Amino acid sequence: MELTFVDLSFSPSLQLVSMVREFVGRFYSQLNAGEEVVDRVSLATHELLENAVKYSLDGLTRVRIEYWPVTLGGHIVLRTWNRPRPEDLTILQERMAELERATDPSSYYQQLLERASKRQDGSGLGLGRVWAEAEMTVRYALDEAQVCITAEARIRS
Amino acid sequence: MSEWSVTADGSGVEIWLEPRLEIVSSIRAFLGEFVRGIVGDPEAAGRMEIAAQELVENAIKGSSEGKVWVELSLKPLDRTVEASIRTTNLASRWNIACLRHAVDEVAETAFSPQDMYVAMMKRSVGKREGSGLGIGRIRAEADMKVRYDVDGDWVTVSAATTFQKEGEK
Repeated sequence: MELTFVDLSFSPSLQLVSMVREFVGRFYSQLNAGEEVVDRVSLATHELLENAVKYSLDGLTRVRIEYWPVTLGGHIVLRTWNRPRPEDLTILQERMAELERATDPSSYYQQLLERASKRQDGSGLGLGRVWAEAEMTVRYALDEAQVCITAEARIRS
Repeated sequence: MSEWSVTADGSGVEIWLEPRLEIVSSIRAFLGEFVRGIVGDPEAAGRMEIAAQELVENAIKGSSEGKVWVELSLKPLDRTVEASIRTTNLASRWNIACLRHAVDEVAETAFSPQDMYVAMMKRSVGKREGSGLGIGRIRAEADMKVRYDVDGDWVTVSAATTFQKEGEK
């Protein structure tokens, strides 16, 4: 198998997020990408898309999932693009700065879980979960009012 | 960072995949659900599913090597939605010729799309490849116009239609 990708542009609802997650999992399962790839891609797709739905100024989102095999494994890259509200952009930047300072994904995720139990607003768990459970590096880039979140992992077979 | 491509123009799906027949039903079902989720019209979703099934299956069967590219586009206008689905793949000269024949026949027929499709079904009995039935079904059952473009060994087949927006019917 060489490079495959799924690329969607739409105004996602939470229902569509679940539907996309299921399709992405089936898609890579049927392409025999391996159970590990399927699980990690499905989880990261769900979390990043859910964030894009929740923290969107205009409801428009693009998500792209790429997978290609490399020697002794494979490479996954997930990207989402959207335009967050200014207050959500500030929160994102704070959380990304926090994530970048953290040294251990599991400990960081545990901290987020404890904090989330006391919060009334967004839990902030999604990016931490992508890092800790999907085991993907997470970064973001800003282009004027548009944010691109990238989650990436090398799978070793 | 890749170029931003989401605008207020509408919604879209692109899939770049290996040509495996076992994946056709998953893609068909997903595109149908996607259309249903965006447009909110089960009948429109059903028509797009028929087109997706036939075009993706044809592209995978007709692919001479490498990949198949599937694109779905939904563009809202004032009271309608312009919908299209397109596949692109490398194809042999024989497959391209069969495709040209099927699309041209459906486009140029003096019969109704339904009568044309019935005639194609009768003619295809016993035929294993190149029956053109998928194209006929898209026209007759999905009520979508089909066209093709050939660029060297690459062939693109598209089916397009316009839906009324919910609330405008």
